[in-house]
Amino acid sequence: MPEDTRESNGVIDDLQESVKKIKLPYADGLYDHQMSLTIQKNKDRETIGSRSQKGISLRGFASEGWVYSNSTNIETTSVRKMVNRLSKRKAGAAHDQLSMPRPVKVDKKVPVKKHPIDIPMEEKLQRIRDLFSLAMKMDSRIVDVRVSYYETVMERALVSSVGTQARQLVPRTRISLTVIAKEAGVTDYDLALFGGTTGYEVVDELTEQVVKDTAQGAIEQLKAISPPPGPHRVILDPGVVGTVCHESFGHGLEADQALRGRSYLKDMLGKRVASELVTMYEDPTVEGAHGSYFFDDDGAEARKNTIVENGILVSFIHDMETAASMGSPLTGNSRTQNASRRRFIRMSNTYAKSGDWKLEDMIKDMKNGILMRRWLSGMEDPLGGGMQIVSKKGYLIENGKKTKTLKSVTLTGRVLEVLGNVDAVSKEGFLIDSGNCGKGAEDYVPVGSGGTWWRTKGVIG
Amino acid sequence: MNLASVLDKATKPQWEIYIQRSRRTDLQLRHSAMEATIHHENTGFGVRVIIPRSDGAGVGFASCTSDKELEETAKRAHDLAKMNRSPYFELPEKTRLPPTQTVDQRIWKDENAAARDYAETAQALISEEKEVSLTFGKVRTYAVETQILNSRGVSRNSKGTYVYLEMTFRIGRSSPTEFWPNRYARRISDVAPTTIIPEWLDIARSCLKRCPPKTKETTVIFAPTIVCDTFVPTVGYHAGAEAVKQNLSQFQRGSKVGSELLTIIDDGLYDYGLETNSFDDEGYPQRRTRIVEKGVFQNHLYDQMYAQTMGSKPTGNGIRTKSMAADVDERYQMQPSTSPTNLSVKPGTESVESLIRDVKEGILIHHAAWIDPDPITTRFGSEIRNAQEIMNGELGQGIVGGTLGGSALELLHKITGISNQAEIVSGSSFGCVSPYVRFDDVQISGPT
Repeated sequence: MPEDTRESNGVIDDLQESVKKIKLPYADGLYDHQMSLTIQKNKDRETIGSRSQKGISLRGFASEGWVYSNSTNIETTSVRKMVNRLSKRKAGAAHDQLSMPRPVKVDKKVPVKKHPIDIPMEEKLQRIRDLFSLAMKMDSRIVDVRVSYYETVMERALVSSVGTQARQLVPRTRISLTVIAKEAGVTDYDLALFGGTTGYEVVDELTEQVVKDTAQGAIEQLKAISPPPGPHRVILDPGVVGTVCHESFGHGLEADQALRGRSYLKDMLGKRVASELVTMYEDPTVEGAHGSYFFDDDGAEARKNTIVENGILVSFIHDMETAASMGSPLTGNSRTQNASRRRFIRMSNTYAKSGDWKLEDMIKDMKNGILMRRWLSGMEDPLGGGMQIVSKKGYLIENGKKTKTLKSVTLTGRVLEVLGNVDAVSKEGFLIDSGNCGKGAEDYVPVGSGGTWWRTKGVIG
Repeated sequence: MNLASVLDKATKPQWEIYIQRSRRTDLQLRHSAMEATIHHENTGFGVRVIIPRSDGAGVGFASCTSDKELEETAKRAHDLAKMNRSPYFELPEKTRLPPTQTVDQRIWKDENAAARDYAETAQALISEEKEVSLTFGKVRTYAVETQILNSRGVSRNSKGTYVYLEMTFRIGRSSPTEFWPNRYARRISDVAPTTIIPEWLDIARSCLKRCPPKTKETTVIFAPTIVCDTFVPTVGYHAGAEAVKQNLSQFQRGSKVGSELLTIIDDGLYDYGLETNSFDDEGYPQRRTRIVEKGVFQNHLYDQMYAQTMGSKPTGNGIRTKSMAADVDERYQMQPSTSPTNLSVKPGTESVESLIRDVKEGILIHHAAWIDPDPITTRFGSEIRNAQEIMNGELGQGIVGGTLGGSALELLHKITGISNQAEIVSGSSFGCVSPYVRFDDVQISGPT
């Protein structure tokens, strides 16, 4: 089971000595231990797995850029070899090219109501079996149910040559339900997902009502029609809005892409990039959100950053290198999946500010269009300025009313157009959903994304 | 290594240890310089324990990254097995293994030098371009040893190499767009810089002049990578025994599932295929299994558990699937499940040029944002990132933007041509050998 082991004490002492020995003007060492438990149940079987992944990543700034030596072997002899590898490198001009974080000495832990370690395994399994049985009984057309529970505790420590000595313990827990229905040769499903930097209490969010709604959603999907292709006015639910924020001005504002000449937003600071109704934040300090943490993997303290304010581009998100290059303060966005990867500029929780509209009025006022519900995935286009958002389902809006249910809906379009066309933002429905984000096709980190309901225009496929 | 001594014999456990050891060099490029160099040494252990129960079995799995934690990990897997409810099955026994080709000796001997040489050659080739430039790139090489041991006396070893490429090409100077391909291969010669970089530059150049598509149903040619991302998750899922057992598969033996032009083999022995190995991730011999023959479905794919619970024989498809979170040398974190090895689409008789020549109006799609089809419904929708218009049998200007969408399994019936040469490809999916494939009546959505 995941445990609050704090076994890194000895490793951190070793890391401090190791970092001192690396003959580069800036060096740091990151220790990462992720202990996780996965339980999945479907009609055929239960799958249970426990994972313990440890590693050390030593890094220095050399004349050839960042050099890393990473290993899953955290023994002293292995770390010594890693130090030797880095020490052979020629020094880079770190003081000119890096914006050093203020040295911090912190040791923090995300508090949770019910620590997963305190919940007996039998109780977790029984809860999952009960949810499975409840969902299976909802309708005779339900052919399978998948309940998936995931808990992890990330223990991460960073020591650096500027004096940082930081350690954080971040638990993340998620539960999801997928209900699959079949009738007359048509198979489809609906799903619900809850998660965050929380403990076992997140399981309580998957209530009987949620199970009932998800089962009903699966049945509705059996009669769903394909969305009409082409340009449409669209209403996006808060989860879809979060995904739009994430793919548009989340990825679009990762400043490493600007340094590479890979950002269409590079010269747009202070300029209008969205409707004045759009204000967006990038914030790793949101209590309980999936992408939250205390400090980033450069050792910079987490802070709330406004990235778009009333439609004006306010800030990129940075690591040590881009903050120095672009003359910006550190934003606390350097992250890595684990100690086997490099650190990149990554989002944490990206969300949009609420507006004044009521959803009901947005629908009535729109007359005809499409409402997207339940995000599935998204993809960025840092240089081209496009984006792709996929939702599990949708509804046709005809004469100001929700009518037919739609199968999965894909929204594409130019970010500046889609966000420039936002003409209504709701007051109600704010949430931050949990997800995982890749930098391109790999390097996954946990993130949150959210907002309230939006209305805009885009191409539907 | 024998775990019998640490497990409670009274529970009559079967056990299996899956071990990976690897060396990785990852070079990340910014323009003509190096942005980051990452050396990684990785070791991991995955332990599975199966104990019989009166109503089936208990299966527990645990993984770790240190041999010092192996006993504790085995005990954890055993404890989880005691609480789990699954069907009973037995792990594989010793059998003869087929020979396979999985190692590039150049990478195996010095994965660091192989990566550096590749990166230098690629950067030199790209630097000669005027309208297209490299903004970011990754060249990563892996040397991986894999071992499986189990309580039935199986002891398997294999070696494998990989190279991973990811490049972002800036297309044009003012109002630029991007071509952002990635590709895994087992050996450098399959993605030789002198071959693949000019191909990628050609695709990038084709989008210097571009427009979004119009909304219509039209003829579309998929590049091999698009075929991989559309059909590996969908055909792979519906061909798998798990989907059959759950009554979710759309494939029944003898049923027509596609055009007569279509033959698909799950080829676990394809020379230097990404999922090629002598044994699957449960230690059972990999093989070739015919999935579709001339449009008619032939055989499902089985791992140990589904084969034994469904009264069939394993097909060597117990795979610890590579995912976006777990790389090729981190499979020890995963449990095996029924999954395709190398989904291999049989080449046709026409050249790519001939496929294009027969199209009056259509689109050749090189790259989409993220196809990511739903395995169950097989529906997908993805932004078109790099494509070319086809008019009267000739390639025209670039197409960027809009959406390619539909149902993957419905597309199989719309195939009207398959090119005569297959490539080992990957995209967001992994393990595919495919030629170019042409489809009629594919839904494209654009701003008009």
